[in-house]
Amino acid sequence: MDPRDYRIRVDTNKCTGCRHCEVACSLAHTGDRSNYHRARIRVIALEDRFLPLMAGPYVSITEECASKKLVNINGFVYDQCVLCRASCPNKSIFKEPDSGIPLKCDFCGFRAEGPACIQWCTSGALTLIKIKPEAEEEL
Amino acid sequence: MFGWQGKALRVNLSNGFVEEELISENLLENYVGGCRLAKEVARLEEVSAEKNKLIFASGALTGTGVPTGAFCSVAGYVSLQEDILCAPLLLRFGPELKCCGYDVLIIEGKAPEWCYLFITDEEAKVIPVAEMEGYTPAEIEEVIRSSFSKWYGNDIRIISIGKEGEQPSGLGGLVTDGLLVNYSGGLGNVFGEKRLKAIAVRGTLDIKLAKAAVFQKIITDAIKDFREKRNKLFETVHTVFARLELPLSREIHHGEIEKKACLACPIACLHQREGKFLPNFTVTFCFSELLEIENMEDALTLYDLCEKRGIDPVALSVTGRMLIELAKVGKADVTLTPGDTKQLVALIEDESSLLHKGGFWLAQHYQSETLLQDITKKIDTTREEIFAQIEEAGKKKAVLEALGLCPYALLAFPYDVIIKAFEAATGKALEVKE
Ligand code: SF4
Ligand code: SF4
Ligand code: SF4
Ligand code: SF4
Repeated sequence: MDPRDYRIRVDTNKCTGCRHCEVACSLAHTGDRSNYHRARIRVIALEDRFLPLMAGPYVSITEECASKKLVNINGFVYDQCVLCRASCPNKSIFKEPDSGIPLKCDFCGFRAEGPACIQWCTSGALTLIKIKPEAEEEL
Repeated sequence: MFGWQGKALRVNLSNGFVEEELISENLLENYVGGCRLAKEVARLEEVSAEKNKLIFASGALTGTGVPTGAFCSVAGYVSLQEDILCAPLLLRFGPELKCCGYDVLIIEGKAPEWCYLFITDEEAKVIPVAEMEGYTPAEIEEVIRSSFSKWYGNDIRIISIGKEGEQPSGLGGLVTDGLLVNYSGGLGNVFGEKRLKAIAVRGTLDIKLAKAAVFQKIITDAIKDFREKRNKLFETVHTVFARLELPLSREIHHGEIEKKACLACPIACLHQREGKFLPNFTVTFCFSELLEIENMEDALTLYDLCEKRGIDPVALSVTGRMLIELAKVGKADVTLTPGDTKQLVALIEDESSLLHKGGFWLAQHYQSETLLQDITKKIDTTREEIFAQIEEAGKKKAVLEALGLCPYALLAFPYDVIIKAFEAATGKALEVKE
């Protein structure tokens, strides 16, 4: 599959916080090790739900983040960080625990069967969407 | 080593001494993990009333990615039961302990003042927290997490005790990340004897797999199969619960609830409402059948009190039933009317009440061992009903426990697939002895 044709749809209402997606991602990328601390997807616990986040492109930020703000969704106030898909240097959760190298979701482009996280997520929180010029089609 | 980490951590609370030890491959191969391993380590360590230790043992597959591979067991000598008890811990404490590099954790000695133990893959330290005496498990979790950055703090896994564990009692249980640990009655008091208020773990080490590609394929295929059979599976479980007819369970688990899961579990049998865990099936059964609580508000009030005080709800229900029966025949001079939650709450709040002695003590004191056996058998029989369709369920559940898996995995995944996953993860064959 060509990763450029697809997107991952996240439905936070369905996420159970099982973090199987994290284990799948780490195993797919390390080859022989299970370690959710190496995942390129992290499931963040918010007040009322879990939010699976994929690490976006690494952005270089100096000391403070200019885009950081509070976001109000359905009456709940979230810190921008939990919504921001950037694996920023202020947020060490998206880094390799030993080397400190920032991690980035590569959409499992090297796997013929597609994203490992989606394969192991059974709740429906993660689904693969094919982007077509005219419409989105769920697979 | 593959699957296992091959190491144990020994912590002496008396002097704060911490030591890493290698675990013999032979011991891991023969006892695998869970309560089986924890109890064997307890035997080797000569755990007794005088030489009490807490032994934690995760399973061979804990944290590897095998569905439901999230469990860890904790054992210790419970004085009021005159025996070594062992309880399974759900959610993620076990996987995180493994990420710290340990399959086994041995805690010995007694701290000079209230403390908590903080373990990472780099260090383990005993942190004095005299001010935490009397704190509820939720308060302890908050204090520990908030002493770190938000991201780091949220990823710390915690076991703690409440007030019940701080005093001699047969009911003192454990709470892990906000969830009461069923069947941990008395183990919370072992924490208390040691002046250990909590254990917090946060590790980042890998769990290496022997035949990772084979392992990945086994799990991916099993999940694919699970997706196809899921509706049928949930229907079966539903039928079992419907047969057991628990109106209270229907009421509690109805409406606006969120499904939550332990690490890598696609079943997600845990439920929360507004961020708080609800009593699970076993607890609901105990509250309604043993304590005869009929309405949801009373059940939730009682569960909430258990959470705040760190009381094992199963031990509470068994003890409560014992008191009801003993009062009926005029043996105990405490009256407990079935279904009277107010009376029960008053007994819980009165720290000198007989209720805090626990079922085992009551059985011995009033020569009512058969009564205790009948009550515990009632719970066991109901729990076994869930596995009625599975051949040799007892043996298989014991194997899963040693592997660090939830017994409910048997309802969703074929047993031989789990065994194959074990072989791929560890590179060893599993020999099941009677
Ligand atoms: S596997 Fe799915 S349900 Fe589980 S944490 Fe990840 S996104 Fe949520
Ligand atoms: S995640 Fe990083 S980039 Fe995004 S808002 Fe937070 S600090 Fe800024
Ligand atoms: S798509 Fe692949 S790289 Fe991205 S989070 Fe999922 S498993 Fe990880
Ligand atoms: S079935 Fe329930 S208790 Fe068992 S692993 Fe899943 S969520 Fe945890």
